[in-house]
Amino acid sequence: MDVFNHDIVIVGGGLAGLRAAIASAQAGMDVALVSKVYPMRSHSVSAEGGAAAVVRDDTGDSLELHALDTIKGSDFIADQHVVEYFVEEAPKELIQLEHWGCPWSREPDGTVSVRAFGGMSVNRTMFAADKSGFHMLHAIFQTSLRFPKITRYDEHFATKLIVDDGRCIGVVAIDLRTGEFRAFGAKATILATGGCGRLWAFTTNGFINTGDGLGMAYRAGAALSDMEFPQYHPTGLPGTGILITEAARGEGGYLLNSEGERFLKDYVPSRMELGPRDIISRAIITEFEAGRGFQGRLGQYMQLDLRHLGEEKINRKLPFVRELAENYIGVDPVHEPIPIRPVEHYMMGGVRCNVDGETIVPGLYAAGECAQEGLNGGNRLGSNSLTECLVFGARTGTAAARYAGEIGAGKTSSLEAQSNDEEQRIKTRFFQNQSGNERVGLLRGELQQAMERNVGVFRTREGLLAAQEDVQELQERFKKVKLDDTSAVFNTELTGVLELENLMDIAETVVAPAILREESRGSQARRDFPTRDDQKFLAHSLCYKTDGGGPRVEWQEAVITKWEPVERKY
Amino acid sequence: MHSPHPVSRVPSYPWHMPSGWWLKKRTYMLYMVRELTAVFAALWVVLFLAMLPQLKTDPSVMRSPIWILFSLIALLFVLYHAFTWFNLMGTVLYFRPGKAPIPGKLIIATMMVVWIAVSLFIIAILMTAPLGY
Amino acid sequence: MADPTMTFAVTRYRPPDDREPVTQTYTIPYNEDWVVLDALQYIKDHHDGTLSFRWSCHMGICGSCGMMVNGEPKLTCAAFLRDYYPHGVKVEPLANFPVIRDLVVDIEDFMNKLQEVKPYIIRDDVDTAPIGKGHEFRQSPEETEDFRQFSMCINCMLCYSACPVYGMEKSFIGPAAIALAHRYNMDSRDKGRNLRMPVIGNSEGIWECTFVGECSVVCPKHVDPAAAIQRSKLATTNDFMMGMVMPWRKR
Repeated sequence: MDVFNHDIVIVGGGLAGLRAAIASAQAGMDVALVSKVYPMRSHSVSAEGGAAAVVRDDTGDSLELHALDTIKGSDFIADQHVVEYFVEEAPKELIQLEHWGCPWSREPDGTVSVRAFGGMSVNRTMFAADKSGFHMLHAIFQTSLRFPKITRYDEHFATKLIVDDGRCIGVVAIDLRTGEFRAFGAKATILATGGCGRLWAFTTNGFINTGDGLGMAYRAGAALSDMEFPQYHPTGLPGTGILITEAARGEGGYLLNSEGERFLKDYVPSRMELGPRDIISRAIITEFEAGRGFQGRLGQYMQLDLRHLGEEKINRKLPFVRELAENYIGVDPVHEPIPIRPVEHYMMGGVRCNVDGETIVPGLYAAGECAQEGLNGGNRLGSNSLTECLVFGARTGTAAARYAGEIGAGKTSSLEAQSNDEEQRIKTRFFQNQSGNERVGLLRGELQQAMERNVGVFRTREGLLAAQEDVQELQERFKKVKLDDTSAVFNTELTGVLELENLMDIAETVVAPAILREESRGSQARRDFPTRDDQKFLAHSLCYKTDGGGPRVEWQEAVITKWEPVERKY
Repeated sequence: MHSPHPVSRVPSYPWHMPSGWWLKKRTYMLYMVRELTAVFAALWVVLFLAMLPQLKTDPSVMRSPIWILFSLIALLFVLYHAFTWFNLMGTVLYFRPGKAPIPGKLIIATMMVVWIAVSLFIIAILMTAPLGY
Repeated sequence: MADPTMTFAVTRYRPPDDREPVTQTYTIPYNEDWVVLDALQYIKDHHDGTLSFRWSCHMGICGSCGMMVNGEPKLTCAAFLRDYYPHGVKVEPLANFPVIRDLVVDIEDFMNKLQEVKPYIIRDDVDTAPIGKGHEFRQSPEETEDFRQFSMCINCMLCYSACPVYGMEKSFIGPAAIALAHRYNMDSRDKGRNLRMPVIGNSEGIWECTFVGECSVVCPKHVDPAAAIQRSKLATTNDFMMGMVMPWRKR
């Protein structure tokens, strides 16, 4: 088996992974970037709205305000010291990316523009038209090309973190082009694998967002935290789930129910369409249940009305929105309202780590959406996550470099032995074992339907218990999965089943804490526990893998520094 | 910088450009026609230069029907080439003297107008200049 | 009445068993909301798990899913079945590229060329200039507009697939790479034009292009790489002439 030894191995080539790679390279480390797709395909590319930071003097903004908005948005379980670090670093990271070529939209005087966004009390969201994630990802990917210390291993699918003597010493991955397993030795390993939206049937996420890093970390003994908080973005296109950016509301769009009302006046009167995402998604579902939704061929929907913005403004500020609505739902927003409904979009939860990205497994770090570093709590504010990737990608890359500079390499013999074992396991389980009868795609669909049914915007104990049973039953059936494709070269059924394995493993970490968190907070809305319980649950959930029987769930108090929790009203 | 894949272990199926590729798409064929017009233009010039000395001895050599027909066809091709060229100039030339770039259509229109004006001028000279025959 | 169906003729290539690509036909239920990518996914999930293809965002921004659909290079997430129904659809790997497996082509050539054209801001203070509030390099909206269109490239490779020059001459740097070089050359913040021009201003770069123009026709993001190449030709020619006339001029 080929063995590649580097100082740092980063799994995942999106915004956070690339930022960490550059930070580590600038710190003098030899970095391997292992990604199952070419970096420009990473799902960071699809983000539209923008990235928030206090970058202007003329808006009455302050770091305090950005922090308060974020903490209140999190429904008070953000770790406040992490938020304080974040808001301070945010402007530096966004301007550094500007220096690196990101084509931010500008004011006439050449300074960067900012726009309004949900839950932000002041306009502070920098944007690149309505393709901010695309421009940010391409800017940082192209910048990474001038760092010779970064070696990329594109289309390499990582399957297991190698832990030896309690320390993470690397990762084993499949070179998709040849089907060969390769071992990557690292003094520090950073997971930047993004979210797990493909756990649900209706999601904005790409096919690749299957929580691979989450699965690997979980199996390696790290804690998955706050996984009960997936974010439902209010405006997804019915059918495909394609995202219509919050910026459409930021530029002045209205949400209308079947009575033609801007119904958010009854839910978030002071912010209306720019309230936080969890509250707006709940408002829409509540309106559906009250019979004030539109009924369409692809299900119920509300209207996102942009007509009053005018064609010129839409073409200038929201061209991608217009294109997507026309192509995928046959609506020209200049003349007709866009049908939308809440859609799974982001995972607030992830691998538990501190502000340096350190997990409880020495040598293992996490950054970006796959990390739970304490920024987002129970609900993330729109336009904080692109900034999150840069701020914590940078910090984690630097921290991992510091650790790698002090520690020696792991034992190559252990790395190779475990990697060989993993190759054996996979080949035996999925190639040699032909006795099963379950198809990958169909099982995946059932898992997604189970989660969509009972782990949605509103939850009940009965529903969550049913989901738990569904997951357990599907995990059993997964043992009988059988592949059509046992070939070596670019076997995407193999990657599909490995991705499904990750989804199967992490599904329980979403359901179990949702059952135990008997309150409603952030994006967790329990019909049976409709209020927030700061006495018991001003904390993060932590799930640890056990040998069957679901995760061991513990609770870790959120860190409060300056802002005492208050009732969350807008 | 990215790692080399061990291509030799599993070679990919190489690409072979099919001959007659330009027959497969209308736009490719039009491209070939456009390129072919250069051949006609060159051929006309060569023949014209070859016939020039003969004018002294046989003034009607350039009035032969075949030559006139060939010249007309060559003229059509050259006009097509010039037309497509001017059309492309709209995107090729980019000037932003102030806040907005000069619109492509304006550039094309200006070039066409100048082209036509110059052509008319040359035709006028040719038609009125005494040629002595 | 039977539910409507649609037939797909899909290229298969499974090394080392297949010596060359073959065509396999699948018939599946027709769904008016679907794109070709959905059909391929349905085939894979229900009928034939061995069908390999690249995909991710399903919204035309990641650039993964480029393939030949009825002989035209297209993003299969934006090729709607309703535009082809009730006729069948032929799906092949992108033309002009070596095929790794089924509908998956080898794009390493492009990745190398992308690296070569230095597609990043080049200036002495790019990593060291002060950062934070108020420290952005000033750029007017007009200056951003100078290069914005060329920055929209999603690296989908449809342009390479449509370019007969690239089909015949592998050394051609190609539309997208040159468009990205031009994007940085036109960015008012960049100072690296002199380093990029030798890379693209040679017979493997812009001068290999004969302005067929098909690259710009198939580009799903309206980047117009053909314009980028021709403008670069003008720019290098201009530089050359000015260099002859005024050799002391700094560029």
